[in-house]
Amino acid sequence: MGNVLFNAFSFLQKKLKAQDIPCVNAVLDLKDGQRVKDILDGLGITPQDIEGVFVNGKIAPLDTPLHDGDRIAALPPGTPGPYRLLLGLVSSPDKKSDKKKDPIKIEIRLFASLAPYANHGDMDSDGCLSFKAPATIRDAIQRLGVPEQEIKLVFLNGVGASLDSSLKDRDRVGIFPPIGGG
Amino acid sequence: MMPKDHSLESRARIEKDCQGKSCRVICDQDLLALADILNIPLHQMYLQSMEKGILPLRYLRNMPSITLKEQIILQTSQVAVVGAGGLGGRIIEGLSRLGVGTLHIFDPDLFDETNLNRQIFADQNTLGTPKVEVMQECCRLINPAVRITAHRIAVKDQNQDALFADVQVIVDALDTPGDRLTLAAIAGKCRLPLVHGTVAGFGGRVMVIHPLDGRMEMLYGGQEDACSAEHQLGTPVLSPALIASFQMMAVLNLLLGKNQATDNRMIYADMEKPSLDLFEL
Repeated sequence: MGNVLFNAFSFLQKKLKAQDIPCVNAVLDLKDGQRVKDILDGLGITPQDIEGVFVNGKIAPLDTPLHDGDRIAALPPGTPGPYRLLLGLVSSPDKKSDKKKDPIKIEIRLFASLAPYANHGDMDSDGCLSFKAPATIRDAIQRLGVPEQEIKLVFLNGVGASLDSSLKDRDRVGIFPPIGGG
Repeated sequence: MMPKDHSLESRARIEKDCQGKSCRVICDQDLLALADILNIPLHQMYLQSMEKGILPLRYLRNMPSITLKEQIILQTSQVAVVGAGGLGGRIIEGLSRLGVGTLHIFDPDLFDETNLNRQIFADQNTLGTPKVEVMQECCRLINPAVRITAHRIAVKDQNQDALFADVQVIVDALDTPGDRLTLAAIAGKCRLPLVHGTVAGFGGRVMVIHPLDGRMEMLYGGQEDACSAEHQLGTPVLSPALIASFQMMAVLNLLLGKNQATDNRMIYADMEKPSLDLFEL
């Protein structure tokens, strides 16, 4: 016997709220041997209502056995990809270890003949590029399709750096090709 | 009638500088005449005049951004400009107007039609003529107080360091990576600062390279056959004109020991955006 914490996200939350089904940080009784599916059944949620379930922050099958203190989160079908990823990051605030980092947004400037690579669709209108996981300058330039052999100088926040330098939020990156005209 | 008094003072007159301050000035014509009468080399005549507090009129509009004291330092300075193309030509012209007393200029090439888009002194009359000789002649007319030594040679050998024995600053106005590396090695050997400049498209870079600091290698090491930006973007006149000016500023700072004389940062200017950034390398 014990409890589990249940959350529903996105439009599933709206739908369940409309039916007065507890779905925001709801503490539910857990009987021995119960699985994810049993809890959802108990709430009147059918498999058609959901696309994925997270147990303790990780996507899990419906027949996953549950334990006291587990956290369950359900997502409806059709949740847009980025939200799905972001929602996966949500966890109880008292468990820091489960909390993943905020997205990293960096400013990247491509100089001289490299400027056209900044027209990549992943670039914001303000010349920024976002990462949801730890990244290096090499990851950034690979994402923009800049061939490494066209790069001569790399700067991180105005100081010479290497392609292996790790990025943090609000970093400024400058990339130069060889320049030799006179 | 030639005035009998052959002193500088007798030929000086009072003019107001742009701040309204009175100063004694003297015309080129008088300085040329006195040098001739007194049999003194022209550059010495200019120096003597300034040391007496009499400013050659040609420098009046430099005041007070360049003071009389600083004009004297410039008159006694020697600078080498290696490469007399888009950057070098403008630097040679500019340093002549600024009154840098002695210029040593190096370039093996003749003007050709592909130079007409950007290189000062490249025109219908000078096509096929050695660049350094054209510049020596044109700059003599611009400022007779400046002595120009024209070397119609390439600086391609580290053992050419004797050519730079008397200079205080070397300017890199070359256009090939290998030659720039050689020049940096020579500057290192001579313990001289090297003012590097380069352009591509509507932008370019300036950086002061100090003896053996290894930074020219960072810019060009291992890059001999890489495709350089200027081959993709060309070099229209705007960028050499801009970057040459930044290089001249660096020369002034080094000679006069002011402003960012000790600032090694790389300046990158892009006129298209436009933007100007400083980078530490």
